[in-house]
Amino acid sequence: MKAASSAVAPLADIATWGVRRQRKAVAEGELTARALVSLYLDRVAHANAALGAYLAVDAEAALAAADELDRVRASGAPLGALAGVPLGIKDVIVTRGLVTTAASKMLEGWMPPYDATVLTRLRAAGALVLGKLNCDEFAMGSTNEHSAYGPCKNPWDLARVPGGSSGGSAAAVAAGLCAASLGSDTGGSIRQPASFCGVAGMKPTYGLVSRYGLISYASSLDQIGPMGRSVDDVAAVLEVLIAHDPNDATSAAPEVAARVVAQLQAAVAARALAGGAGAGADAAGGGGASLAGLRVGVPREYLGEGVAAEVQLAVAQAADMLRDAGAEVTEISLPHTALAMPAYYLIAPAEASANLARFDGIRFGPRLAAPDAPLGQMYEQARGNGFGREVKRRIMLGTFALRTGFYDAYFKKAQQVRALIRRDFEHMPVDMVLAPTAPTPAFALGQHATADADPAAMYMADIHTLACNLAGIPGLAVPVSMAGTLPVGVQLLGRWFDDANVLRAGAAIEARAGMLGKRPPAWEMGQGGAQ
Amino acid sequence: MVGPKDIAEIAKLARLALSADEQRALQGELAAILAHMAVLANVDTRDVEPMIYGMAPERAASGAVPVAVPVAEEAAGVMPVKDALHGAAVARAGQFVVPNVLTGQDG
Repeated sequence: MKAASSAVAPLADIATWGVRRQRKAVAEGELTARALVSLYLDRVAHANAALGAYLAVDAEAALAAADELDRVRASGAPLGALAGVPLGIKDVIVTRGLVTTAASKMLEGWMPPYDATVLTRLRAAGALVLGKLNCDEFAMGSTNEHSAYGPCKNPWDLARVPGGSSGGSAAAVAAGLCAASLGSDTGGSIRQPASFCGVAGMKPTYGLVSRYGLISYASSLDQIGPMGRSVDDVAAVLEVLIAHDPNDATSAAPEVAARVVAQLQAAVAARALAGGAGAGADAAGGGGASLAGLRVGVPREYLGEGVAAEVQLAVAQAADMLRDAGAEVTEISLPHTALAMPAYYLIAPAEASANLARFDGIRFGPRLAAPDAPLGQMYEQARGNGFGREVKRRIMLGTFALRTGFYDAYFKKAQQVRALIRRDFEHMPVDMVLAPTAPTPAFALGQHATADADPAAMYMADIHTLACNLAGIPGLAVPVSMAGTLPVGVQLLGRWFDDANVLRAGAAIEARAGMLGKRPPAWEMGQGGAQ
Repeated sequence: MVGPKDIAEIAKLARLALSADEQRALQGELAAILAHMAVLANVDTRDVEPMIYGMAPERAASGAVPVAVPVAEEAAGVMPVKDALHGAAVARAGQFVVPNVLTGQDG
């Protein structure tokens, strides 16, 4: 066994390594887990003040866990699939012993007494948690400007948003402040920031990844998913996350979860997820596997008015890349697409209004009223003070939709329309969909966040990502091209539980797009370079 | 249309204390958002079952909808009282302290 060292490559380069390569280096003693964690902690220390990606970093715990892993490795005991890999975790996922705020004042300083199931699984696989990543408050937003602790910035342009709600998760990966991250996606909150930040991100099929320990926004839509610098990195983390969980009543059956994991592992074994020989990719001889026989549809409704020319171009380029890999790409119709926004923005806020009822100043949150104040006043003051503007707006919208006399016309109607949107995907004559993730590349900070900004305009910008959550199907965002200094991504939407195939197709795009070696200007900040 | 009385009523239902400025802003915002929802009224949803759950159609069709799953003790565990009270603003003797709700006052 080689002597453990951190000198196999310049430390700065190690941050460009993929997840599987980092794991291999730790497992084979090429690199200590402590050295790897220290590298990332150093990068975070240099870059986070300007970027705002992390809300909390627990260096002591991360290094202690790294030291323990190094002891296990030295003993010769087997190591897990993600041994030594440093991860960032979106701050809506509870982490025992590490403050979890959901980016809200309501949970300021809250220390969870348990780990989310995804954390239990990641820790068992040897992954190391660096800290909690910034996001829109309670995952409600598309810009990361609704965090109670300040916005996160886009690593490609600090004057622009990273996207949301998993803005910190995307920015941290793009800037090399973690090897991979977890986000959550209720209406696009992994896929859109992944595209804005030039990284890969996946929302799995609903039910594949446990929601136990995910602070709920909308329970029938929420899913936790991985973000990484490559499709293979996303797959490496997803393999560990997918499992039946008896603590989650909506968890996929054990045999279904096992089948998807087996398909993922088969794709890895066939080198079908390796995106090529760019920096950060692990496999030699890129190109991915042939996609012969795969039918991909581009919905005409997703490329209408309001979609920027550079986004339309990226979709066309991705279509050509898929054809080059052997897939058949045609135009299709998903006729109920335009209804996704009104349906989502009734269903999600309605579910949120119920889920956030628990934050009442009794079990959670500040108690502001006098001890002898009426109970209702106590609730109202705690909630009025603890929640930010966007959360209050969605709670109000959801409460409106559920009111007696309005329920059938709004909430029930939205659920019926949701069924129609799901049918579009059930009946589509293709295996998966290729589409934009957002109408434009990343836009300027403040563009949608001014006092007189039209909230509906911000909601309309989610039009490409909402239907995937409403239907419960898997969606993968993958970078395709640069529009000037900004990355542009696309998304692939698959059939239920066809996550492995979606990743295969994403890898084929990645292998041809030439985006793997590109790093944002903020990458240099992690090395203590000029900002 | 959403008027000031609606906003006050919804805020009461949602247990949210809102300033006068917030109420005014929300009235306009909700009206603007709900204007986009009007399109749903024209959609033919006769004989369309509402999609309540997020799961795959075959599971929903089989009737395997979420129910209270009998969970083995070792799977779910039981959270210690100390941990359950961890986020409480005020706790005493292993319990959340709440205002007296028997006086008939409820804000």
